[in-house]
Amino acid sequence: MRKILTLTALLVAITGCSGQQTDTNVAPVNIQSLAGNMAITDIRPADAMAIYPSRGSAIERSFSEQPPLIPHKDDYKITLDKNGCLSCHSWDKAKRMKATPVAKSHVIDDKGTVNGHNYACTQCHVAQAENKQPLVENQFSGK
Amino acid sequence: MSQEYHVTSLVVHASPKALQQVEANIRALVGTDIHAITPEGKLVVTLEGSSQRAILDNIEAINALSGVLSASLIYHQVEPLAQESEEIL
Amino acid sequence: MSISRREFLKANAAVAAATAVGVTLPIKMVEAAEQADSIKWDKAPCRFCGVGCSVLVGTQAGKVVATKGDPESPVNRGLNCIKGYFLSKIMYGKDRLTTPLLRMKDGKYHKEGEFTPVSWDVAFDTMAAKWKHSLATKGPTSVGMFGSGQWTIWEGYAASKLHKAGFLTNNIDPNARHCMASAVGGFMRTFGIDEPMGCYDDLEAADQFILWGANMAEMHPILWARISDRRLSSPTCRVHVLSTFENRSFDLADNPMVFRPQSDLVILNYIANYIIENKAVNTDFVTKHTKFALGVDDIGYGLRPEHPLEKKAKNPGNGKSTPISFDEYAKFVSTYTLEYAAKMSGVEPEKLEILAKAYANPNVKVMSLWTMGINQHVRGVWANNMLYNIHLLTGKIATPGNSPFSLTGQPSACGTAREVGTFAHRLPADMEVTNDKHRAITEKLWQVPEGTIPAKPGYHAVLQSRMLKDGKLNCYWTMCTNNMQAGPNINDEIYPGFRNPENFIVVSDPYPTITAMAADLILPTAMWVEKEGAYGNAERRTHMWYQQVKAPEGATSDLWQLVEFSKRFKVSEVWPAELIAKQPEYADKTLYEVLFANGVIDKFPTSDCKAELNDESEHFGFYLQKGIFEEYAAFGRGHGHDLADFDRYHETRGLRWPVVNGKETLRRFVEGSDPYVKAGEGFKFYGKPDGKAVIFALPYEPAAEEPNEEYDLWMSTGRVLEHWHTGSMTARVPELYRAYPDAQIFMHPEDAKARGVQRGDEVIVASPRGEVKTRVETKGRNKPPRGVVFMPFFDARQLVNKLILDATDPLSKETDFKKCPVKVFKAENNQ
Repeated sequence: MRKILTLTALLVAITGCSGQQTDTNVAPVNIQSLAGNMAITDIRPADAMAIYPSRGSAIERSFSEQPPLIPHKDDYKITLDKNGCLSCHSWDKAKRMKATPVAKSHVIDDKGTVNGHNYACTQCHVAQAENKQPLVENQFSGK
Repeated sequence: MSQEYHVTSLVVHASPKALQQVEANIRALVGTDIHAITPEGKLVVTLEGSSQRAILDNIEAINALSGVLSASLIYHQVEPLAQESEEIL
Repeated sequence: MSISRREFLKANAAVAAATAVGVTLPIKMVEAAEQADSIKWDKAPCRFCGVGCSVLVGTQAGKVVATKGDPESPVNRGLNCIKGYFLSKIMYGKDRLTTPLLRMKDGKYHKEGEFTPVSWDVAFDTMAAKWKHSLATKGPTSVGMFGSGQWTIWEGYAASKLHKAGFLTNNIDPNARHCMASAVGGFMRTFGIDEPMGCYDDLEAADQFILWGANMAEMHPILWARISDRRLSSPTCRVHVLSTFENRSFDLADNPMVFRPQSDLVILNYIANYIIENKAVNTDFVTKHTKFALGVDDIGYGLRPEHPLEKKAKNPGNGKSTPISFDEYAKFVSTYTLEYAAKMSGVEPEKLEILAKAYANPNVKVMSLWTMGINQHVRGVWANNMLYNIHLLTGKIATPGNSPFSLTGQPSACGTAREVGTFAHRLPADMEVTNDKHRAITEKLWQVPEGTIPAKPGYHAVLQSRMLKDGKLNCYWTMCTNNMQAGPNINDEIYPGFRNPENFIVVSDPYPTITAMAADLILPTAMWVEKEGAYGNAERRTHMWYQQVKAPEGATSDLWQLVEFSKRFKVSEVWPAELIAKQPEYADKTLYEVLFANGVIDKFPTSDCKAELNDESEHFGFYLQKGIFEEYAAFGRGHGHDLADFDRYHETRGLRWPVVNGKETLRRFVEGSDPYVKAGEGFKFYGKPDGKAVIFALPYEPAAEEPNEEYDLWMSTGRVLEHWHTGSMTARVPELYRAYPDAQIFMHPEDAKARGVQRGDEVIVASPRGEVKTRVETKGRNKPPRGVVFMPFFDARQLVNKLILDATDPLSKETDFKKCPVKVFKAENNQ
């Protein structure tokens, strides 16, 4: 379903560079939007609901400063009164709960008090649906 | 605790009259290098250190020098000296 | 660490600083910094929302390999949100377009043909022929452009100039019409000049925050992080959140309020009434700095003239007003009692009173924050006016912490669309095409003859779709926007317009979006740090970035395309003889020579560019971006829109205009902060000739459509944290896609049960204009009350805007995306 411009693009890039008119033999390409082969006027059936894992181990980062992904579901409530994430990830609980402690960069003292502007964890950290594969491949390679 | 290498670069703007003194004072600080000086009194300075604290101390010292009109932070890079796969206490 | 690595990092640091000062370093140092095997970091504004965070972009061997928050930016201080952190990946979707694609059959362009790779020459030749034919046979109103609040400043300027002074058409409008037009309308009516008077510094100065239909937790996360910080660290800080459904912003709210859609108008007038009845009016301020006006009402819904709702309206599209006294205003709002407000909104009276008290209490500094809930509203301009009313009545404006803050959605709706004036009715620096003096000033600065710029406003966004469908607009170019997915009424208006055989549609985009798929010619476009750019964020901060990597071979920037395309037209081919006669030396020149190589835009040499890469400048032979910027800046300097010198923006993390004598302005209209307000004046709303802001008496008027027996749920649409707009960038980042893969419909569990569906079921959501299939969510981050549902619009596979009516605020022409009656029923099992 996901076709890409390979040889055709190369061919055209070469002919394009030499400023020639289009060769009538250049084949059309099969490009698709993120909606795949759905026509705009179609009513496409809905994909399955996303399923997030209930637990998991730490996921390796793809580049050095990426906020680590959440290897489990992220519907723990974060409110004024209580931060659900910290019930496992705070410095005093992490070891016992076998959870990654909150990063040093997010705390303001030796006790691990979380900086106010890092309070809403899910603004930077997100879960990953285990039953979903990316619609399009991404060729980023990180450091 | 993991080791880190910090490098920061600044543009320090000194009053032209005090330029020589400012230059000497900056050189006297540990971890500083001056890479260029313009006629209007701007110095391109790098600071190296093993912690953010060390860098900040130097920046404060530079700002406090008489004859320094301003110091602008341009760049900061941190390089961990030991391999880390996750943030740890 | 090896000594050479240490030296290398130090060299990098030194070069960065030297570049900033324009100093050359010894070759050895520069070479040390250029080692290809290490990461070079440089700043750039984030590609996404109107907060305007700064990021550091790490490049190596010609690719972006990392991004991180920029600690030097006062906006975000090193923090990003999830989308900002993944900026490094947005350019690397495998289906990046690298060649122009033209629909062809049998070797020729054909409307029903298949997308075939062509060269840039063939692409522009085809386009130019179409445009010239249309201009010659049907005139300038038959061509047009739909641009973007995500354009860089110079892209917007080039596009605007090409259309208004080149093709002589005002049919250029940005997608910011869908997001900020009502805010602009509000500013112009109340203050006579656009954009907020406060700035982000108000976040740390205010006592109480009130969110009006803005889900900041997801949509302006970094600003929300600053509010969270305040709320958590200050015992007296309070947060009020109003929305038509419970969302993540409610998690931090002291006073959460879910109100019935459209009743925000009632609540706003109630608060004004409360202020007056409780003697909280700042009489001194009101007498000196404001005046009152009664707005014309019954103004319709911006629909097609033959629509019954438009025919019924007494004063469709009428934005006029008549002066009234304070007493008359007080009488007008006196009917907006607490009981009435509670009844209309469904919010408990106690909560409304707590809200009103925050505004009324002279010792409480209040910051009101709003975006799409207020702007994408058939009475959006009124709602903006009414928000300013309550800040003006109390004098809580333009001082630290007292801040009615209209948040911006897009990264440069301010900097590009609004300030440059890329609208069907506008010119740079808040000028308007309908104003003779404004046109004259613009023509002079553009060195074109008097009478060049058309005086009649062109087609705005929704009207463009209608005119395409009706065959009146025939040559259409869209850039940096995905209107087939993001615009309203896809089935009835947008799609038929694109596929009308009389029309030739060109779409510039990095990726094959839905809009591109419906076009006739697709142009592969460069993104973000693949070109030198400048944006202006919500707090008037103009900020810039250098090109840091090259675009994929074959892709070019919007700027390159606009300027290069202008070479294809001779003035004699597009201007009428009478106009050429006024400046006959132009006759044989190309539009390129008249508009861009005009002695102003081409006056800076490429060597002025301090970055290594600048593909456009290299191609055209002069520093194009700087030339455009300086020509553009001439419009605003000295007129309240002052921009600093071009180079300063590259050196800093941006500056808030007006920048006068090198100093940025934090707060406008107030003495001591705004250089345009003289000592002793106190406040001056200098956008108005008498320096007074206007407090408008405006009534509640209902939405265009309300739920009825068949379409019994009120649907709102909007964004989610993880995706930007239509997901063309974010849904191609695996981590963002897997964080939030598909759209769904958020429903109250009882509403689901009443329709025989439960969480996870596939349902059809239908309005009179179309259907989508989606799945039910009853436990997600958004919890609507009974009778309200919400669907995000990021998912290309679920085109929720098929359902939305193209009803607009008749004054701003901005679509109401928040109040669409729909019905929801279980999809049949058609395995």
